[in-house]
Formats: sequence, structure tokens, C-alpha cells
Amino acid sequence: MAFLDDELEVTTRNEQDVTVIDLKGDVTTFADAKITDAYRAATVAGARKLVLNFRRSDYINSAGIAILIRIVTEVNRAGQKLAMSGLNDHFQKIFRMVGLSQYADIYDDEQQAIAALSPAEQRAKS
Amino acid sequence: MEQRMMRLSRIVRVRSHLQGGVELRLPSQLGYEKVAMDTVETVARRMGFVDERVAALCTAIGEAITNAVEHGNRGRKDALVRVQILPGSDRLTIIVRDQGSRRLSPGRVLKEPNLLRAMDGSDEGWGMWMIRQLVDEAAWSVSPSGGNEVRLVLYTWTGADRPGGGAHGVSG
Repeated sequence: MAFLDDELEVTTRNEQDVTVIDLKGDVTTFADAKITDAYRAATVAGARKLVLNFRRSDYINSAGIAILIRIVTEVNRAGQKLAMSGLNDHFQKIFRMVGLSQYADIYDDEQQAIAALSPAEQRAKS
Repeated sequence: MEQRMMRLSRIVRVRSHLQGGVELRLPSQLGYEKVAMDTVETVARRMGFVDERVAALCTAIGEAITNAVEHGNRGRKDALVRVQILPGSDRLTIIVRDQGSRRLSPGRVLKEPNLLRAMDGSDEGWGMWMIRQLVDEAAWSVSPSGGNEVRLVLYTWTGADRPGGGAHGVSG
């Protein structure tokens, strides 16, 4: 079934004081360990503001949404800030439908998400 | 002779019903739902559905097949998931059947997501609820062969003509 596998690739980078976690591939039940590990590693490294960037991910199912809910839960408990970016209109609608947007702001692209989490004046101070 | 004619007549009706449609037999393994999603996308686009409706239908199909693999067939790798894609003059109907090792719980069909409960780990399984939100009609039943069957319908009607109103429909 290798030709059907679109295994998720997760990479993490820092943009000013914001940690961006890029997701490339399918966000399904198989993505759990990679997303969770990336988030927890960023947290251990001191991340306070995070962006989950879905720009290169075009298949998210309910199991994937369940993973994201768990991340949102941990973000809330840790007092971090989380935004999501790069979702197409369809998945923005689904995230709003299930209520995820109540706990993490959704932006069209990464730059908007970073600007919202870390306004220019804050960036100037940091 | 009369009985044979009746049987033939029934077969002809069934074939006629399937004319213009597509039937897929998928291995009961996660990942293969994408084959069905791609096929449904092609048919839906050829019927003229707008992007938003095509995306919604594909997501619903993916959820229905995932349910069939994980819950209906309970992960049995030797089982199949059958998908019928039936374009009609005013609708696109998709039927997903599993081999029914486990009946899907009707109570889960209408379960609405509760994020606060989900955050505590006590609410899960929104797949069926999502399906119902994404298509015009969704109905779960036991298939003639004994497994679970979910029938999804997307109408080509637009605006107020569509059952329940709304601004969906085909382009043009």
C-alpha cells in the first residue's frame, strides 16, 4: 500500500519568538506520534507561542482532528498560545464546525498567524 | 420459466440501476479510502458540483470508509469495503458497505462533538456526525448482505430548490 501512504512529515522551526510546526502529508490516525512528539519537543525547548502550519497538508480526518484537540488541551494546560495556518477553506469550515476555532485562532497563512501571536511591538521588545 | 424471467428482469433492473455508476471493492485497510475519494471527486466534478461541495463529499466518504474499516470490519485485513458511486439526474449517491463484524451504533450517528469532553478524553468518534453535516442526506442501515451500509446523497439542486434550502449545488 506504499503508493497510498502519504506519511506525515513534521518539521519545526523558529520565526522570531514563535515556533512553527510544519505539517506535510496526511493528518490521520497515523500522524499522532509525530505531531505530539514535535509539539512536546518544542514545549521542552521553551516554546510559548506556536503555529501549526497545514499549508502542505490536504487530507485531515476526524482522527486527525482528535489529535489536534489533544494538542489544544495540552497548550491550554501549559498556558501557551496556539494558532493554525495554511488550512484551505474546506478545513477551516470543518475546524469551525467542530469548535476547534474556539481554542486556536485560524489564519490563512503563516505570516498572519505569526503577526497575531507576536505583534511587531512585542517582537521589538524581545 | 416465469420465475427465471422474473430473476432476469430483476438482474436487468439492477444493471440498469448501475449503468453510468462505478463500484469499487477496497481492501479493508486505512489509506484505500483515498482511492474512493479520488474517484468520487472525479465523478462529482464531472457532474458540475462546486469545489466546496466536492470537498465536503470527499471528506464524508473518507470518514464513512474509515468507519467501515475500523468499526464495521474491525480491522480485519481479509475483509472488503464496497463503494458504489451512482450519479443520477438530480443527485449523486454513494453507498459504502462493510462486512459487518460489528454493527455501528445508531446512537453514535447523531453524536455531536463536545470539545470540552474531548479535551478530557471522554468524547470521541465524531466521524458519523461529521458525515451528516457534510452531505444532504446520510442514512445508516444493515445491508442486504448483513454488513453495515451508509448511503450518502448530494443533490444537484441549488438554493431554495434544494431539500432544506441553502446555497449549495452545482456550478453554472
